[in-house]
Amino acid sequence: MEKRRFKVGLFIPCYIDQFYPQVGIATFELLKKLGSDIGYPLNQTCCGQPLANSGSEHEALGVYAAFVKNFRSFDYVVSPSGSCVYHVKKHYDILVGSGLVPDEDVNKVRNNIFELCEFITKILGVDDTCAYFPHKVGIHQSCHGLRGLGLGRESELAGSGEGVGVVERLLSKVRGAEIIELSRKDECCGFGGTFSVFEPAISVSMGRSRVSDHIANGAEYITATDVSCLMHMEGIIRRESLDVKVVHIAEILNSSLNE
Amino acid sequence: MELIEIFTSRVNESGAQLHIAPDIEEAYRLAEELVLSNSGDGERFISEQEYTIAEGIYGVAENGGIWLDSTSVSSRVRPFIAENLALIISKSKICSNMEELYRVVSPASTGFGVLISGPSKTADIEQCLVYGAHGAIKHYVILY
Amino acid sequence: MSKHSKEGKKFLSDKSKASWHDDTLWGVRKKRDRAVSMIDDWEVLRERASSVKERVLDNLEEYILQFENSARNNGVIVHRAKNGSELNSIILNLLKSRGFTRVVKSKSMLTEECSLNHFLEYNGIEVVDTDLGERIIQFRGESPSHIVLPAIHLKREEIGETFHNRIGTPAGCSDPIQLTAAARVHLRSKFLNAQAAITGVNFAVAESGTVVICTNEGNADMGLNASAKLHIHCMGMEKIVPTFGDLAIFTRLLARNATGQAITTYTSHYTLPDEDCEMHIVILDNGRSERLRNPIFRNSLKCIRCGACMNTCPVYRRSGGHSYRYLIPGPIGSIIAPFGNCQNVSKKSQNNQNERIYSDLPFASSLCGSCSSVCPVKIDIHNQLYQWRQILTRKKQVSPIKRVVMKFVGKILASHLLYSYAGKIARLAIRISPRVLIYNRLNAWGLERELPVPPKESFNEWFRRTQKS
Repeated sequence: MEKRRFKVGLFIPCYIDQFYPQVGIATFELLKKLGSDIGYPLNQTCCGQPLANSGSEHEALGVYAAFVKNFRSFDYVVSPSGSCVYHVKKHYDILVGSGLVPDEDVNKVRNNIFELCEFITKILGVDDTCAYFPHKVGIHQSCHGLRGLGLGRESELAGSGEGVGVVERLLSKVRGAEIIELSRKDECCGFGGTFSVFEPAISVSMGRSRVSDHIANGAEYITATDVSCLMHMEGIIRRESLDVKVVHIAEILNSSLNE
Repeated sequence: MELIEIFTSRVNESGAQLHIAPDIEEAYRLAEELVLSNSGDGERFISEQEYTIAEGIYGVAENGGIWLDSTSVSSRVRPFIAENLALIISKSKICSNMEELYRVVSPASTGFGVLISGPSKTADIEQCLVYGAHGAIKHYVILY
Repeated sequence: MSKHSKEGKKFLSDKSKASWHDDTLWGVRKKRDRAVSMIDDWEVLRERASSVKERVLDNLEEYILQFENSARNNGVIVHRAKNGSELNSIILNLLKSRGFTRVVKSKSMLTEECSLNHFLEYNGIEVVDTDLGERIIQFRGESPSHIVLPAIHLKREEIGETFHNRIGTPAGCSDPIQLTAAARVHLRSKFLNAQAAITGVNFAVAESGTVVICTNEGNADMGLNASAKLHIHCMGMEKIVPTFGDLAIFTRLLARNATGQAITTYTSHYTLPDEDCEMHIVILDNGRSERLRNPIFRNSLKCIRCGACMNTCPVYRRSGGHSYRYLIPGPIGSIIAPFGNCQNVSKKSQNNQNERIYSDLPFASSLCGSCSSVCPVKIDIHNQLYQWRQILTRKKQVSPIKRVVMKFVGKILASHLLYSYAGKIARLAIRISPRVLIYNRLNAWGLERELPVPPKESFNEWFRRTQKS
């Protein structure tokens, strides 16, 4: 497919920026490899989701406005995070009519923001990123990406729908990677933002359940579109010294024979 | 006929026992034989043995249910109080699903109607399936 | 720590029971998936069901009037109850004026909403819950923990002990078959001696005045038809469906979604009073019309009480229904509870009271959205929980500390300078602080998890250092 030179704005979520910069680096390198003209607004902060999910949506308007200002000049905004992208698409509606930024800028950003895998498959039309990752990998279907953005078809729905999800599509082309089957395909990991600290017992119970499922089915790595889920599962893995690792899908797709 | 096959599967899944008869006379004879042969399992059922045999008005393939109304039984309690329930239904009276059922029967006209699929059951104790909670313990469907 | 969080932690502390509860209800969800896959046009059916319910809600008063007229033409007596007190009084009067004291009752969450049993018992009426699960919890003086599987929180040994104490089954007997058989005998005598039968209503057909009752046990029908001459059917005003054609959609959806059965054993349609019997229908409001007027939450009135949202909810499965402390637990319950359907409280204080008491419930969720995806009538449950969070926070029904912290966080996140300083400090603090300082009771994350390893450089710092802008 011809690579149109549209301008892509890279949004790196706050917890990736602060705690998992390697995921941001992998995303940046991958998009460049795929021919995108990438801009990274240096003054970006956060999409505001932690505030909104805690019920303080009204305190997040300043954050939302800053986001739109940072990204309105791009044709597309891409982020290695399903939940942030879902949040902008669904919940930035309260910014419309607020007067903090022009409505058309808000809508432009909302209509053109994509999660990374979705961007690669649907906008760039690429399935194969020429990656090499010779490991058994379990896909954790992060909820906002799956049910919110439709990155795959959730197991609650009847019928097979449009077939395979975007993560699976991309991962199946990664050389050496073997995708393992889970017993609960798309159960939530229990992170849920502030849920993870306001209901820690249940949050951890859910996370443990997911990790056990992956381990029981032979996963060497757990991957997902969202670092938040992986951070939560990794916290459990490290505390309990379990034999599995987490890796963001961007890191897998960016890996090659040279590494 | 595909509808009969689906109906048969659903009836079996519901916990009912399906029997085939060549005609309605044979169906009635078989029904009586089945309900009377069931002498119960000893002390399990202290209450007196009761049975009801009735002719269904329509059967529904999608769920293996059989429709009865006030004209099918002498009193409204009969389909529920009997330990053994035998329902006779003609192959020509199997419709595909609930939407068709409500079109072909008049659900309200006789004042009472019930769709019965399988014996009475409960899973209220640890999700263990037990037949015969209050209604029929044994449910026979005779298809002719 | 919120109430749900505390109760949930308690529930989880019995590891084997919690694990059983989670596995068993996940099993029900899987049964549902299998049953659903057998209907080719399931997703279309959901859409149709949702549209019918929307249409009913848009024209509710008209449909209720149509239902009332149809029923009255059938010789049925229809009552309207504004709230739980009224419903209770109506029923008590019907019983007292006929000198009836022996009542059998089939499953009705609505009568529990009104605390009907307590009221009647207080007034000298014997009320026997005839659904096995309901009878078990009635014996134990507990409330149901699930709207379809009320005794799911109990193990067979606990039920066996209860039956031994209450109906004389052998001590130590916990076999479900034997216990069910004993219950059958015990309840049969109640059916055969009942003077009045009270039932719930799954669906009420407006065009004919028919009430539809779905059970697997047949207890509603035994109650009505074995002996009782006074029949009282209690329904929420939102249970109306316009026609039998509409009813068909719901009878195809309900059992599959609830328990994974193609249909319940009995789907009974009562239109005319039986010979020598009186048939009454009581239509309850109790806050429903107020919820109907609320544009965000009116959707919750589409609910057909299948319970699938509970079975699929990973939080419900790991915390149990009682941790919600409300009649209807789980996702749909978390929408309804803060709204308030309590009787005997004035409207203004009722709302504030319920919002405060149940303010933790909309937060007892990771907002995964599984509930919305299984809902047969397409209620956007997780979105309504999100909206409740905003409303409760604005109305100051949540912890003041949390509100202040979030205000502060909002200021930080809106400024790149503040945000990057805060991030740098946090990473430094985690890197250099002794473990005991970080991992203690104050750090809820760290109770059972490690914090991520803080990198020396953030992505932003890396980019500034290595890339030309």
